[in-house]
Amino acid sequence: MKKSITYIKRFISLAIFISVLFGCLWYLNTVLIPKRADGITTMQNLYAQEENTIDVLLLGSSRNGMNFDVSVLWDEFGMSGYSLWGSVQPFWNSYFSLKEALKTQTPSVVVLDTFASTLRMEHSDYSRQVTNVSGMKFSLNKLEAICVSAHFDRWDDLLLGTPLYHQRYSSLTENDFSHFPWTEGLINDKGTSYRYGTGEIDVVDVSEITELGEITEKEKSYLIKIIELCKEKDIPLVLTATPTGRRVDDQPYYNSVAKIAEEYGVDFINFNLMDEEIGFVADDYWTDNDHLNTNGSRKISRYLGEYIDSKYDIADHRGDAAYESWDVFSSQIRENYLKMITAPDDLLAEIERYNMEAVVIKNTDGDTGVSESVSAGLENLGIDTLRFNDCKQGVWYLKSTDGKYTAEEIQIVGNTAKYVCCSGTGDVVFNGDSVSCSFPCEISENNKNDVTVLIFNPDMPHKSNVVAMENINSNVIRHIK
Amino acid sequence: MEILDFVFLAVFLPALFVGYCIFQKWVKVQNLLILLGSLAFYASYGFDNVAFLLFSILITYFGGMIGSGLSKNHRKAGKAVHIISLLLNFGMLFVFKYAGFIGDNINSILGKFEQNINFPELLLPIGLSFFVFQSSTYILDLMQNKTVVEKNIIDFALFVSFFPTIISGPIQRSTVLLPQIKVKREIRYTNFQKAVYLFLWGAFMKFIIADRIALFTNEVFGNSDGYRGLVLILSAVAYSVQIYADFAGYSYMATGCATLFGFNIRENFRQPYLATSIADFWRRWHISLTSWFRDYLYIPLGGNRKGNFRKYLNVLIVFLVSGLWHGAEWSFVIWGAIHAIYQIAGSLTLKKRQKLCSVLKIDRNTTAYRMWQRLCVFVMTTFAWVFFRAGSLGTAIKYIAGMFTGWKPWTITDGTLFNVGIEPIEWNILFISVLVLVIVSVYRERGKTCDDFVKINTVFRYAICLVLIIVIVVFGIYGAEYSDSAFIYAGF
Repeated sequence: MKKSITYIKRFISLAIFISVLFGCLWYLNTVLIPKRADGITTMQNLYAQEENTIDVLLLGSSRNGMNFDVSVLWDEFGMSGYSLWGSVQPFWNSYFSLKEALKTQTPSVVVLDTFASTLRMEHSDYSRQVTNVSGMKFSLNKLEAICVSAHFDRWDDLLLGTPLYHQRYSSLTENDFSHFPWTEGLINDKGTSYRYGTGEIDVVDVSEITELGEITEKEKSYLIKIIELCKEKDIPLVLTATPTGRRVDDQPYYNSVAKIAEEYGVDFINFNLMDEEIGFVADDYWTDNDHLNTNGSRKISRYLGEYIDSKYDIADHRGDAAYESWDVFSSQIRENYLKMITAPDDLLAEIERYNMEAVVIKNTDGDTGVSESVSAGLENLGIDTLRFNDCKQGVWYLKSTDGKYTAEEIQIVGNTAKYVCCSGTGDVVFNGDSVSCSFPCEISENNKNDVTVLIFNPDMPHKSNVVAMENINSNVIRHIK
Repeated sequence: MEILDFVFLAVFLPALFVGYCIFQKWVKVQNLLILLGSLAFYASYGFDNVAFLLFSILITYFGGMIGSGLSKNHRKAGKAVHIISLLLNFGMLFVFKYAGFIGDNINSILGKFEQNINFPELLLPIGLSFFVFQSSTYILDLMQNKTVVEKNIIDFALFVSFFPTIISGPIQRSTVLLPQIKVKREIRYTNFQKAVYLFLWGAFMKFIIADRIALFTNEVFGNSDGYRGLVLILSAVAYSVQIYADFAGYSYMATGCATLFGFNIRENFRQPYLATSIADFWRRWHISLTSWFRDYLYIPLGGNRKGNFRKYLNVLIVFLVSGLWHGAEWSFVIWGAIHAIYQIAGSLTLKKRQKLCSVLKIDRNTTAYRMWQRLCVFVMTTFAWVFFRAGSLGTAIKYIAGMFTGWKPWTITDGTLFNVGIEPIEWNILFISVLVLVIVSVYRERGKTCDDFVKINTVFRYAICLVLIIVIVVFGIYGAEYSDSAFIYAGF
């Protein structure tokens, strides 16, 4: 009897110890895992999505995740998209990501980027192996993905995860401690990443290239597996090749993809053959050879939205409470993009694009004018630029009604101008070289010779951006808040 | 598959242990199981290596059988067979470990006459020095009638190839391990606990201390021409800690593995840097090898029984051989010679030092004096380790010369040390972990052992285990980038 009690005690204490140990290790792993948006968080945040809410599931490499803007699908078509991408993602990783996604989602359309057809490797480089499998929960899919993705001697590291990234202990940030399954807000991330800026790309016509590139057996087999899986699940599949600066090298492989698509009766959109149709007449839609900037991604996203809308019957979910997270996502995209902008005319165009309310404050010691492009932007927002350029100090409240902007010049009484915006009343107080504002956020800035713009994101009025166009003619933007 | 690999810890060891538990009542099956596991473990380092291991097992087993069989009626013939068996074992070690070294030296002499001989480059099978020494103890013990002939080839093969000790020791005696193989070993919960504690402590020493220091010492020793003064001195000091943490860490892990299966492996390190003399240091450092040399070389050579000159000569021989055992390089020979000189000089000056103490009225029984002795031992061994680590005699001499030039005390405070392969946070972790090592060493020096640790409060023990595991998992130097970091002593 005494012996049995001893055994029970030992068993219980060991069980408690092992439970606490595994709990601690799980917590540490969650903290230490790199919160990389190019593969890891896209998979982690997929698990946070409500079941069966994703209409359009985008898979593939950054040519998908950074070139298609899911917010455009939502804002303009009411489609709930999710970009489940990973850096230089081979088809085998797309396949296992799709299988994992199908556990909780039944998308109406799957959009697969076919950049992987151009890759010629048995395994990805090591960092890409990590980004493409580490976000997956422990599952048979993850085990299979690891076995296919890496050489045998890397399997244990990829499975455990911690050996790969435990050395991040010296570079952890607040973000690392706020990315648990129960963390609020993960649902609002829909995977899209994007870049601001313009790179010079050699855009050439590749319609004459008809040769077929040889897709590796491994890539081809997994592409076919994806096609067959979608057919089995009765999910339409759209293959895509987004516009690239490497199109001369890539086109033969895309020709082979087109052949496979035809063979299996799958749609294939090769944007590299559609410059005129899309309107890519200049090279200012790219940031680099592989990635589009926001202008470019919005263009092809709109095309994709129209394509899906015309071919498949997908309900418009805008206004549906179950899809609220796409509204938040869309607002966040706008918010984040505003923070990236560095050119004043891009800023004014973005305000106009989303019909955002704004307050423009000019504070100069003389009647200094702004550049022609900024002038044009201000005019589009309803500001009388003659008056704007002639005055030393002024405050304009900009508002869009039915797509048309009006600018109301606020009278400055003493040194204060009071304005009424979508969610309250604010003051602008001129104190010589500086300006202070009391709403929506309290700022006090030395902005002599600056134009300060308060931008109200209609979905998040209390999180407004404050941007200063520094030295009125220099075309430099300073993000204040 | 290393002793710290995921496959070893998560698959090999648990599977072997479960099988071992299932056949608890059949010790022969257990032995066969561990033998197969040991061969598989060794084969994971390269299948070709197994041939050398089997060769050593077979020649020693049959050498022992035939030799002892003959000894009953033909003593000399029996002895000759034993010696042949030893020669074949040591011959294999000699060919694979020292042929290249000898060839290089011959060529360096021939080079002066513009001659050259192409000696084949042979790859040293991993753990060869360890299993050759282990199997030879059996023959030597047979010759000294300390043990009896082992007729069961499975038990004998297990003795030679026992997986926890085959790669880096500790070298086991036939008189100690073979009897344990023959008897039924009980599976005890306390053994399981001890195994976990020993393994974790070993992993802490290896992953947290040794491999972290290696970031610093590899940089400095690898580019010693680029450093001067204090940085070289600090690196030498750090290497002293590194080699201890590395080798003792492995020994603890090996002991932990053996304990799990009910085997009692002898202690291989006993706080060597708390030694108060060089002789004391060698009673605490790599005890299994030192005692091997003592019992099978020093004493047969006459030990200290044939006068002082022979005693000193024997000490010199033992340490030169010990140096060569560690590596086929002149720097290892010099390292051995330095330790021999320390021992001889220590013995020669003992009386004068004692007299000096009494003249200066220094009480030799005070803690302060012992601390002074320990400091002296640490400085002396650190100096010798430079030869051990440098890789070649020339590099070692340059390194030592560099220690005394370019003396810049401000390198400690001006951030120089943060740019020598190791970042500030790593220094902090290192400082804390070495402090823990010192505390544990003092605890053990006071006679406390793993058995005492098992007896303390369960919650406290489990908490320590939990912290150790988490510290090792998070702060350990391991993973993809560090896969090349092997145990220092596996090279021997």
